[in-house]
Amino acid sequence: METVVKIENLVKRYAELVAVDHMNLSIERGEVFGLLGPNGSGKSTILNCLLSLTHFDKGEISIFGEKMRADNYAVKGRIGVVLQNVAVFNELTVYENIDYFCSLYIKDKKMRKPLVEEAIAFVGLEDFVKFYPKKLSGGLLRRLNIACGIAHKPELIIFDEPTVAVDPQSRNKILEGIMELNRQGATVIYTSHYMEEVEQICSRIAIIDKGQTVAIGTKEELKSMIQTGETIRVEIPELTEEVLGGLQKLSHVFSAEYKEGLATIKCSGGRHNVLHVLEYLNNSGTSFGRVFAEQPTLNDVFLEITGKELRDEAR
Amino acid sequence: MKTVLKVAKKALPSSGIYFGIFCAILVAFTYLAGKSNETAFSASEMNIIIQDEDATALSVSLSDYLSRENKVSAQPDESLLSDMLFYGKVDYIIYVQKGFTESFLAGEDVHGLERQSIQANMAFLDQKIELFFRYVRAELAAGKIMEEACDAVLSACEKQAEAVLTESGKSSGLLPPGYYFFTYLSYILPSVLIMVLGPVIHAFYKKDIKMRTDCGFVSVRQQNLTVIGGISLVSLLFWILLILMGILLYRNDFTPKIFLYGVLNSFLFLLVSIMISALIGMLVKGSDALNGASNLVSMGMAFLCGVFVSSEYLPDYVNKIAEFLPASWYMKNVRMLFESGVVWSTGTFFQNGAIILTFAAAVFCIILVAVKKKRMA
Repeated sequence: METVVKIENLVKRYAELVAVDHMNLSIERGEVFGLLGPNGSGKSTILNCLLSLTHFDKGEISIFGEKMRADNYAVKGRIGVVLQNVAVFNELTVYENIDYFCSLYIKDKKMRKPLVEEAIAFVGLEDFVKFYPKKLSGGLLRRLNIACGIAHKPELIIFDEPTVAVDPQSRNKILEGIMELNRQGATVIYTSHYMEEVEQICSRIAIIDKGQTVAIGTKEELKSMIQTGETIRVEIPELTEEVLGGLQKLSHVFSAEYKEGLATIKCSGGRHNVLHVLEYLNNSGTSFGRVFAEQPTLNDVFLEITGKELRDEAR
Repeated sequence: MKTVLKVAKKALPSSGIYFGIFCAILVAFTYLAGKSNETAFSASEMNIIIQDEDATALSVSLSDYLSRENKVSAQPDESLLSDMLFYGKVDYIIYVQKGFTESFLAGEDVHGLERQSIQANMAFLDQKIELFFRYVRAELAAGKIMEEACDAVLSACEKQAEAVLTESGKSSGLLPPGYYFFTYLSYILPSVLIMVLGPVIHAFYKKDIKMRTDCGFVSVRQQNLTVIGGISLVSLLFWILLILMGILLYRNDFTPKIFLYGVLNSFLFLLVSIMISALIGMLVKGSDALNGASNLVSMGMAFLCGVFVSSEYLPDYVNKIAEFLPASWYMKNVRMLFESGVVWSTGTFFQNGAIILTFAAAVFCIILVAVKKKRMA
């Protein structure tokens, strides 16, 4: 596998604040690589360093095997960027905007035309080509933002939180689009604080906190890093201390809590955890209602590694 | 470059309104200003009826004297006079009774002269009549007889003094309309360019757009050159339009040489206006704020530098402050070129031009600092 992006020992400081702290990262060709972390964890700073939009204090970044510098236009020409904020000209129409940003990479107007049209079709903005951005809804604006970043057919596409403040329909369309771009051969770096999105589309994920990579791997690898293999929630109207203590002593169970009529039992990996829990409750004469069993989420991973909720800071 | 022009085109309607109003005011102002120097004052004509029962040289001369600027007549049917006065067919009635001249010669208070009017603003006419009698008395005192005295007063009134407006002895005050064209250029250039170039600069140097373009295949230098080229082209087109307008309307007001110097002076001012507009575009966000900045900068500079009110009427400290503004040096050249009382010097013209260019260079340096600060932020 070819390494597309390599970050070694990257350090970026803003005065006293260390935004990126000795980060190492390697992204292979064809990956959809997710950078997951709460707001302010350093995701955007990493991207800015990657794109040479900001100077960094220490470390080295290479893209497509070449050292990345602000004036390395050969490398820049192979990268597409979809920024967190919609960066388009309000004075230009949808078509003109895509054409302009495509022209930053492809000078020949004839060559550009089919690419622009393809990008418009890709994001589904065919009916809005003559619209000015102010006339577009939030979701359509995000799609325009994406079209401006991908029209020149880049090999590496960086998406910086492209679904912020987007309705579910547009969000799905955007995520499907990213997957399609990946299928067409593009390597994708995707940053988000929405763990469901990252889990849905990314083949490998780096969890970032305070500018450091706290965990890296596929979602399965990340989940296997933590103790929790399964979380079982059972609605129980009344639960005695004795029964709760019994639950905690079951094999594979490493924690059990009872709060407001709901027992939360965390188990390590095992095939019959639910069966064992329900059998115990039956034997102890405890009546129960609905039962939910969940595989661990990336939030559980983040929680166990950092001791805080990813979800709390994100949404 | 094309994108720069497209963005500028979108900003045109708002500045077009300014330009349209300005052109209308310019044309009107110029011609009004030209005419206002030609006639300073003219008395309005009134309908006067004189019922002369005395029929002496004095009463006849009074009638002659008043008829020079008014319509003077007699009304045989005296019963109609009150109605004529009431319905406004006549403004002023003078009854000269028999024995009036005798009373006048006796040097007593004038008896036998009655005046009637229902309008309140007849004081000016009363004053004129009193003045006439005073002149006649003066001539009589000099030893003339009544007929000679009256003739002397009437012939003296034939002469009309020519009034010329002078400005502190420096200029004749009679300026061609084209002078106002070049004067107001120093207002319209920055005001319209701020409105047109501001949105262009703002759009291209907006943080997110700049980030996206910086990620592109085009170097920062190339990007800047494209924007500079675009805004220069827009500014140049606007300036050419103004100069063509000047040629069309005022080509006969000056010699070609003077006009060319005026054009050169305005070109130098165009450069500094572009720089000021670019700087404001970098610092100010939003069209309302831009509008405010345009008014503040262009109007403020115009007032301080003697565009709307001649600097001769401004306090010295204001003129001192104005020297720190480029429009002041532009106006110095305009005055030197077009005002007859100011001595022309090619050296001074180019010296003032160099100062305008220095202003442009200084603002350009501030722009570079602003760009760097934005990049660092």
